[in-house]
Amino acid sequence: MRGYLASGLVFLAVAATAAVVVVVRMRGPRRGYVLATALTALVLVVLTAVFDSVMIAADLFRYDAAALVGLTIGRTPVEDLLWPLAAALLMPALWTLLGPPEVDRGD
Amino acid sequence: MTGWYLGALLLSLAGLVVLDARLRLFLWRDAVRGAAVLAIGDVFFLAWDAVTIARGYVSRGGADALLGVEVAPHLPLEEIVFVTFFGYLAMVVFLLAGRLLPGGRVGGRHQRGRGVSTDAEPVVRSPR
Repeated sequence: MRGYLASGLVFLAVAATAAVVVVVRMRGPRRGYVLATALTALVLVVLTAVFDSVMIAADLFRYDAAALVGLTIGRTPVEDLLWPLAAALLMPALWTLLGPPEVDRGD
Repeated sequence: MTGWYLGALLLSLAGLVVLDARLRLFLWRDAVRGAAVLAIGDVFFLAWDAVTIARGYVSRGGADALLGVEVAPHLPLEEIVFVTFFGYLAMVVFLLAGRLLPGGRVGGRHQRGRGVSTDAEPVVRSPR
């Protein structure tokens, strides 16, 4: 597996683990959290596909072509889409993990 | 124009701040918790950057758009701002989605028997 993808998958796995932990531990309905996370992922992936291309065209950063799979969306290497996916999984999980514990009042 | 990337980032960040402040979504809901989330996110994504830079997968471009200030080799100052912005964006989108989507509750209080409230001020229900 090409290096850029491999290293990205490791970080994505960490983010995914955090999200899974949160969902598994959730006592109430999980649908809201999962839906919101999915929507966040979609929005971030689309934005990344667009803005990454712009940033690459502006020569803000460069890639070693040998490290890439070679598939792009516009100028965005597909591996770069792991970033917004990881953000959508990790950030809400951190917010939830750092938040107040769920109170099951049992009314 | 030198530094327009940073300018664009700060402008975008300002937009998120306005949205956050108006709707009390994230930092305007819980500043300490929010700051902690952003800080951990920063560490995570900068570590990712560090790995890809160290292995030579990614390197800094020669653009005028950059200020030219590096925090570490191939890690421009703008990247710190960018990862923070990106984490902030993720949270604003997530919390906004949590309020707009059905099935509400995202990340916090669940009250069984009363239905779920969205991740915002508690839903006020009429007495039973």
